[in-house]
Amino acid sequence: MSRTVIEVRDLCKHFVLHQQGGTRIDALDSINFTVRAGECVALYGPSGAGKSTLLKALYGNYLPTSGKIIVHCPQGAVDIASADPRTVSMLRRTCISYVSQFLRVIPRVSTMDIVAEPLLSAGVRAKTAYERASALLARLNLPPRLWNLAPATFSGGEQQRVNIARGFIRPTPILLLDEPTASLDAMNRKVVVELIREACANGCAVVGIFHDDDTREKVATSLVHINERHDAELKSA
Amino acid sequence: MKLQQDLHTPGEHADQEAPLAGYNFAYLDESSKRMIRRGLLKAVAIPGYQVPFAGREMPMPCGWGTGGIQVTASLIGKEDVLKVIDQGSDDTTNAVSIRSFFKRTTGVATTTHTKEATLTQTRHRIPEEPLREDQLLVYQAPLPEPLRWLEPSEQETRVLHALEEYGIMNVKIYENIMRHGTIAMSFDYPVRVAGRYITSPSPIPRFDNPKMNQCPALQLFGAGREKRLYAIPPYTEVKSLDFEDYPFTVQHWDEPCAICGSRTSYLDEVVLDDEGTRMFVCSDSDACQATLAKKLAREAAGKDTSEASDE
Amino acid sequence: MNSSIPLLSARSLTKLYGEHVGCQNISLDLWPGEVLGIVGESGSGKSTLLNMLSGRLAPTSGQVVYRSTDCALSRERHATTTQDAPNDNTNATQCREIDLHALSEGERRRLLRTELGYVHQNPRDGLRMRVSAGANIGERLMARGERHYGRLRATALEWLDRVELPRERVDDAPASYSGGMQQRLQIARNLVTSPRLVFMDEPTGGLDVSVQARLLDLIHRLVRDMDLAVILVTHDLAVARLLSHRLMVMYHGHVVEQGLTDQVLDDPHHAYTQLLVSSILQG
Repeated sequence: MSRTVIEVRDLCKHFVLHQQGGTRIDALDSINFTVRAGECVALYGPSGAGKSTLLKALYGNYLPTSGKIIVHCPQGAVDIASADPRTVSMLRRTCISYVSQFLRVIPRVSTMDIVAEPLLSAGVRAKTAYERASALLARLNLPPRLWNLAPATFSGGEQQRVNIARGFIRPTPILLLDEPTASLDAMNRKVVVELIREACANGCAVVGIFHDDDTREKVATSLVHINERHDAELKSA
Repeated sequence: MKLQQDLHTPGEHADQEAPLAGYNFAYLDESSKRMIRRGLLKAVAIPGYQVPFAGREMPMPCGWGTGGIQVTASLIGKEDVLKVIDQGSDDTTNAVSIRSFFKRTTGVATTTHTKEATLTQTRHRIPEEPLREDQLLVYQAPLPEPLRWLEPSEQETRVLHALEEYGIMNVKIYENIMRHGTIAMSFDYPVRVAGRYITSPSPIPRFDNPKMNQCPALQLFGAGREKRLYAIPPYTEVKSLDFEDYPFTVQHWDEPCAICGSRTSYLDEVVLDDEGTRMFVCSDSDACQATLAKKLAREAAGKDTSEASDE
Repeated sequence: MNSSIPLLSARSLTKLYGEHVGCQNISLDLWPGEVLGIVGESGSGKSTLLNMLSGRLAPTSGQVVYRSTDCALSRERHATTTQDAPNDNTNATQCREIDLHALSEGERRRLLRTELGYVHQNPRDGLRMRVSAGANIGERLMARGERHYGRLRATALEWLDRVELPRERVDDAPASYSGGMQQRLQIARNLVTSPRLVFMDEPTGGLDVSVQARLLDLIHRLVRDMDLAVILVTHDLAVARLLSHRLMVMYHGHVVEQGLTDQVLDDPHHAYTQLLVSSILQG
């Protein structure tokens, strides 16, 4: 068995909406699962069950109410649920990649710069970073004429591919994917499947939400069921 | 510069007139003179630093040299021999008026010869004749603050001086080179006195700047409207500001003075007619006369020897 | 950001204006290369905090410590502590702590034009409007002793390139520049001495949306390339999200919430932060 990379223990997340009379929403309740290097865990459950919330908590984007998210990185084991912002920030730069559903970038920055940014931030030389970005964009079938344009006017599928390229450009021990194939055609879904499989083969621990059954079946090594009663069960895919 | 104790003693020299009755010696009252002298002592103690003083109203408008006049009035004594120049000349309106003012209020001897003067008040020039330790040069300074060009706030310029923050002075030089391709400030060219304060030399041509450096005479500056005094003590280093790649230079002329033939003095351009005919003549009229006299004497001597050899 | 020693530390900063609370008991640490956003509505005390952090406003109580590389400055200040640690030459760049509010006016101003920078919301407050762009960029260098026109000009041109201003405008006074260009020039003027920490007060405020976007991109790149630490005050959450790594939310002079920028904005806990986030127009 390969080593454990992510351990989620008794994870709970409630939202209190102060603007709506203090309404409390229980989004996650006692979630437990582990992810090993080379595994691809798919979060599975009905819409609104809290899959995205869980994924965001893994990225440090949502702050859990209780429980632990221990990630084993080259720097050692860190509990993201209680780590200080600098540590989370450091993990994001070195250890955890996240592909969200939506592209959120500075307006009017070119596609090429957006994709190369994670490498440039990590101190990779500009030439290398842009070469890798070009290669990845080409592989995702994004026409080169778009590379120097800002993605604001791109179609949903094109924006999603930019987002995927940005998420995959820098290999990290942990990869979090929030519906990476949602607005892609079959050809590009296939490319994404390949990218995920390659990441796993390189020892990456992947956690993802895949609405498209076909993709999920192709990449997932196990499923974490998150149902509306908010308890998760780990089952073999 | 003996201090005047007895106010109404008539002059000792035959060429001195009796001063006007009813006015104190040199017009200013003694306590005002003392106040100004105290300010001057501080100015000498901190070379280049602008000392505020309670400038008095003088019987002439600001801009006519009221600052210099107050300095002269508080220092002049019966024994002094006064020279007043305006742009190098002893006989322009401003110089004549000020000379006559002091003549009438003090009765001291006046002169146009730099060598004879113990106290010279000047507007916009330093005499060509090198000054001596026993001489005093009083400048009329219209705008004493060299940083004013970039910093309108007096409070801020005083802080900049106090902290030696002189970046903005170099901004001025940069702008000058940028606009003109060279440092084109031809007068009031800022200097650094004794390695500390950046100081306005008053609107003298930059030709005169080197004369301020290590000058044996005490140099005093009075700004009447701005109510500031400052000083350069004898033998003080005065450095004109510049850039490494644009060093300080003085003006040069292609032709000599049309009157005396001097090639070493500061020349004024004089337009002679409507056709634009012009000539260049010495700005320092006393130095011009002296050079001319020497030249004529030499020519006369040369004539004599040539005639002698002919015989 | 990997350095373990904060560049700037504030402890229990409080500013009272008589009865009125400007800022109450604020502590923070800023590490090299980190961008800290301070958000809140007008009157929340964010500008008061920025002014105290930059040494421009004396706090009623509390301390701001800056770790300078200017050894002359810190050694003078802490001559007594140096005696206790002889031969401390092992780490020349690692210098002692400077209490920003204990510095003399001259030392503080020197620091503000070398290791620190301050980008004002209104470029008129940070530029000399009547002198050329080149001289504006060169002024900090000249204050530091640069006396070579050729080098000053070369540096000015290089910085115009870096902030994407046309080279041919080098001799124009900023009064003839557009608002966005003036802001770029102000940034160049601050960054020319390679500061370690720059304070920015609403740097994109008052600019057109399109101009704002390009300026944000520029700041983002310069911060990354120069490894700058930035304390950014803004009321615009979109600006805060794009530029800052961490966020502090201020309300009535208090910090009500802080954390990673996206965490604070996507999962706000405090009622005021939730109100702030829910008030953003969805674009």
